[in-house]
Amino acid sequence: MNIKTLQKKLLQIISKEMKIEIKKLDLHKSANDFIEWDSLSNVRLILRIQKDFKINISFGETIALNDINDLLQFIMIKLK
Amino acid sequence: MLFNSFNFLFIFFPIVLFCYYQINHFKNKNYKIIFLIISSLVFYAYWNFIYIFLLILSIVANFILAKIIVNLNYKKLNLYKKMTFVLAIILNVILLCYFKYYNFFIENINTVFSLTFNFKNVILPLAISFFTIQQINFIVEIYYGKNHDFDFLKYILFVSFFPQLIAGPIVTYSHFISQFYNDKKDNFYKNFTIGLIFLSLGLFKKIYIADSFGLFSNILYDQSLITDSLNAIDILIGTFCFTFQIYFDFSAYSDMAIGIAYFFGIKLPDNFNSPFKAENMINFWSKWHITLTQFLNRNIFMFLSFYLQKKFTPHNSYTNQNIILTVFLPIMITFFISGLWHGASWTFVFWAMLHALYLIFNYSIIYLLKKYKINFQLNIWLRRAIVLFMINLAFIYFRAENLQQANFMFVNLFNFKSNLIFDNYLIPILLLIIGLAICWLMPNTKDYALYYSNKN
Repeated sequence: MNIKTLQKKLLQIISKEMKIEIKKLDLHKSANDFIEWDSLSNVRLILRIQKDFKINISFGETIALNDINDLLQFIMIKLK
Repeated sequence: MLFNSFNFLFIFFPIVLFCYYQINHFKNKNYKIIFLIISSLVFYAYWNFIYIFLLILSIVANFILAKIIVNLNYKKLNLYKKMTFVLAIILNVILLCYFKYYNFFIENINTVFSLTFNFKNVILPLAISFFTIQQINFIVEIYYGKNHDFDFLKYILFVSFFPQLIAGPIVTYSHFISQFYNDKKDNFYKNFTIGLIFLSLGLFKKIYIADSFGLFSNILYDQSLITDSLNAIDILIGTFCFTFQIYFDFSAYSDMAIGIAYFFGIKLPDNFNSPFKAENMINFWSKWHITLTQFLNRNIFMFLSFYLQKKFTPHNSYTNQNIILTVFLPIMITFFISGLWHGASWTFVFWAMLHALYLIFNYSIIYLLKKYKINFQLNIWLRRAIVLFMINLAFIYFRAENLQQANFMFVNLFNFKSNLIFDNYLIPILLLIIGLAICWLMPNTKDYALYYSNKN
């Protein structure tokens, strides 16, 4: 999967799980920018990402993620 | 030294600010950092000279442990790294527990086992709750590979910076320190304008609004200790007065901290974002004491949620997500800890556990509506009113001196027969209407500050 496809897929997942319009999302946004993106829906998002990309995310790995871009790069590395 | 005291506003703050901008001309940025550290230590020592050593001890110990973690990381000694990490967390927790919970612990042991251990005369060191969790946050970030490049001077300032030392906002290292090395030319006038708006609105909220509400909430809570029944009308007025009092008081203190930091060109994170405009309980917690919620969310809630999920649902099945284990149980534990952090008393734990139940209820409703594809929403003002009412009920525990007092209020919530206690009802009711209008209809401090600073 190249980074463009990955990015599109990731934004779609976030948009669907968080109920945020996709045009409001970009790579520099983070959970703090949206009221809808609270810690409870975050748990759901992580489960969804793990399932859809077939990767495993541990607690420590989420600490270093600050925005959607970090998340994208992180998934990219995991998929390699 | 409180921000609204004469000594701070008219002596300490102007002198520090004046000297800071003299030192700011030097090329070497360490000078201004050293100056701010000394000022912060003076600020802390003004309250109690001896405890300054405790603050320094905590800073030095955490710094050394963090450096050890980084070194072990380079040498790939993961087991030792983990042990150091656990040790650092335990030491921080022990320090906090000794000073904050020693007597609470003894009291409970005595009650449960009918013993008579003596209480110790421990004075709670100012700000210990805040500087401890700020450092725990730092250690967690270091352990998981964030900000490995830190030095002693910057670290001391990060913990002790006086505007946020006493009552937050809780800052993260990278966000805070990067601002000192920002090469963008500071817009001096803009920072002063924003700082002044935050500081003056904060002072106004604290002195005129919060303290006025305090007069009436105190009447109710003082009366409830000596009477054997209360009228529901008094309880509603008095408890709502307290809810507004604590909001205006605490958010004012955050505003003042943010404003004072702006004078030095430092932007602290937002701590309140019109929480009474929240439309549900989940929303409320993303608007109330934001930096603490973020800390609890990252370090406790997410940690537990991950841990329980890995332990009990190993196949990451999304559809069979066990919400009791991955969401509800972590919420309960997180709020239990949050309650104890707020104060060494069961009243705070009850307050927090009520909020945990609210959140679980709220989450369940959303979950069920989604599951059965029901599209239903109450009117926005009704939702806000319900949220405010529920918050108010929980705050009864927060303000009460013991559980009996809070329970007594709850029992009397349906009692309309007792004698009324206030001499005058016009003023508190008017005050509540004004408070509500401010919270629901007006922009918040940040909106004002940004509006005026962009205008110029």
